[in-house]
Amino acid sequence: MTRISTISTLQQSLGFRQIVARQTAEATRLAQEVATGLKRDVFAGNAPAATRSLEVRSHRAANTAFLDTNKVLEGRLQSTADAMTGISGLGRAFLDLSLTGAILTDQGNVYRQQARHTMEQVVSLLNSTYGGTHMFSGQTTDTAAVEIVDAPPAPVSLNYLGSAVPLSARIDDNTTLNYGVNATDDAFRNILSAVRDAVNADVTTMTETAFATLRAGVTTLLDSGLQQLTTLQARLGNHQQLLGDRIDGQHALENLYVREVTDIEGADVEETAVRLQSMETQLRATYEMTARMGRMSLLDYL
Amino acid sequence: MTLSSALNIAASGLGVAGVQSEVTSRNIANADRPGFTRKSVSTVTAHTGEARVGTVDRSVDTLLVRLERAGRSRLAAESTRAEGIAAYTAHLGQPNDGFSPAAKVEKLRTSLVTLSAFPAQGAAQLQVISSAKDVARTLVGLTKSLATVAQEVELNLRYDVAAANDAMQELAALNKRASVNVDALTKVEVADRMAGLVDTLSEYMDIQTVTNAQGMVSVYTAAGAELVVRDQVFDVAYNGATGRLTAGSVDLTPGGTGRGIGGGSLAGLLDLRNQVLPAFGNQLDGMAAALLQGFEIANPMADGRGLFTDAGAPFSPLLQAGLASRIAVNETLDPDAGGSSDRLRSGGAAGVATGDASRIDAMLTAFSQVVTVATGGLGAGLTLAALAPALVGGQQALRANAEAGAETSRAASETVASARSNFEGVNIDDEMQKLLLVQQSYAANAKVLTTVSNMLDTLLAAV
Repeated sequence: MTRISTISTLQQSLGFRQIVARQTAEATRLAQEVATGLKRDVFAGNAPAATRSLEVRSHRAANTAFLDTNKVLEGRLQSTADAMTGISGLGRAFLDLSLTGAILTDQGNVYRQQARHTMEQVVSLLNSTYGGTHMFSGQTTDTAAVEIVDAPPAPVSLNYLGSAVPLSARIDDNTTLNYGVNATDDAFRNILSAVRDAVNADVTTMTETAFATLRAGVTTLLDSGLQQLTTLQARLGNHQQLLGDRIDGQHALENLYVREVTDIEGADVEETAVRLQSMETQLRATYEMTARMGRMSLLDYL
Repeated sequence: MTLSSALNIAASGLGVAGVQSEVTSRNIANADRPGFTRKSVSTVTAHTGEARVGTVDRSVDTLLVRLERAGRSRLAAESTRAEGIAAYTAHLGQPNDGFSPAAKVEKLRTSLVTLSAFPAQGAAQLQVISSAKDVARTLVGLTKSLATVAQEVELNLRYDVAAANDAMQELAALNKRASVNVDALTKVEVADRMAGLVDTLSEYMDIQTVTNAQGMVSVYTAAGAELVVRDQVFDVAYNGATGRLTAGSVDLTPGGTGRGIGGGSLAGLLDLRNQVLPAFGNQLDGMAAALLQGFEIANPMADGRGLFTDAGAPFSPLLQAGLASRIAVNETLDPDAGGSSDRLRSGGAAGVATGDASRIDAMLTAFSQVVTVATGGLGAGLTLAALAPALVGGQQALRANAEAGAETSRAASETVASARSNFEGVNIDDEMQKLLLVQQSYAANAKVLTTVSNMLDTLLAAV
């Protein structure tokens, strides 16, 4: 018997349906990728790269968090630096007053008042806060750094309340910055001791010589404190520089991470759009052929 | 040659045309039924010259049938496996989805970075606790999703075993009837049904068949285990406690010591039940263990527990199995449970300075340290930060590979299935053309009858 190879009518229909289903699914996937700019299934394309993308996302999130906190820390360091500049200015002004020959013994009260004013100003600056936490109290950020104990007839004294352990901060995964400047540092102690001595001195009964001796002692202490303060300022400046560099680096890393994630997860929108257009054409052609083949039947001629 | 024999021959032609038209009409009526095979009538010529119906044949190519069933088994196994994995991994999301465990662990890490800068800030502490609870919830949720998929797999195993046994019973019953004499058309319809049952069985297991001269079909697994031998059935049984599949006394479990099946939905389901899902569960437990241990070492409270607990208890490597379903945030740190989030900073010790971030820093460092617990095969030398991406990436990669494998099998299977369907199926136009021929034959034979009848009348009139 002669065998004629035929196409099953059912299979012909199923075949067209399978083609349409496949093309529709592909078109939907492409449309979604064009709309979102991201691959629909990152793992299907390149699973190891997708895992890498997850890792990069994790690094990026940590980097962003460090960047945010470092910017806050940058503000804190600047405020600390500003306060230290203020203290330095106050100290220098009192040093100038102590050095000048213009102030005489009969102006001792003025000198003493100026000392009191300087002490209060310096203490106020040492007790300043940033974001609700004290800047010069070491790790006891909830406590004022120093207080003036003024209980006559006892002489005025200074009470250091803060911790001597300096503050530190993680500025990235591996670096801890010990940035803290404490009121207990010698620089502040010497400045405050100098002005305290001036405040406690009984200048009204002092001889010219005794007043000169007082001013000489104050000058020595102040000078020493101010020199130490300059060293602290230089160290803080270095920390600010380091932090600034790290922030710049973290900005660069952020861009790098975003690019790497986009490279892995992003769809090539132009190419995808072209493929989508091509898929649309194929789908139209399939519909056209389905309709034409459906219309072509011997039944129409019988 | 006589006029009467001419009449007989024409009448036989009418009879054959009748059968041919019946077969053609059956073909056309069933053209849209999957599994229906096209039938054709072969005719023979008797020594008297009469046309007789020889046989009614099914259009079958045994090689194509074998190939198609093998492809069907392979596809069923791979698509079952891929669907099972995808049902779970849908909860892991894509890298840009915020609900994956990788995203949750990432969030915990970033909230610790913030807390490190502001260790005494209540909002930052609460953010860490909230992120930690989210991590715990996610792991518990994933464990539940895994359990739900496992339950579905268990149910499907039982359904598929029952359906396979039903098909085998019906096949055995049809084998019994194969020896009974029936007309040719009924015989080919029974053969169609038997082929359909074997097709169905091939979706559950990879099988091979032997058909004897009487048309009895015996079915064996590809590895040779008996399933149906003539009218004897070796029932398939599934043991839910052990995860073993048997036929009679033969072990059909894939990867076992017996004659394991390698295809069909049962193979896919058993692979999910015995291999894939337990492996995923171990990895989730490994993730939970790494979190418990990592933070216990980094920032232990007075009682030795860390940020996470094993349902309130400290980490124990001996109790790692099922840990992901029990992981919880230490209640002494959780204000919602009456605890204090400030313990993150102080560890519960008195006199710890408000600016002391050393414990928080230690927790941050834990993310960069290599995990020492068993991770369920996620890889050696992974840090805590890399563990969640490795878990999500590894499990999603398995899903993507399974789907790609299923897609490849689908394409191959569809090609062979299409060839088989074209070979066995009905083309209506072709049948209509055959019907035209039958119609012509019928008309011609009828004309012969009329003409010979007229000739006989003429002869009788002349007498």
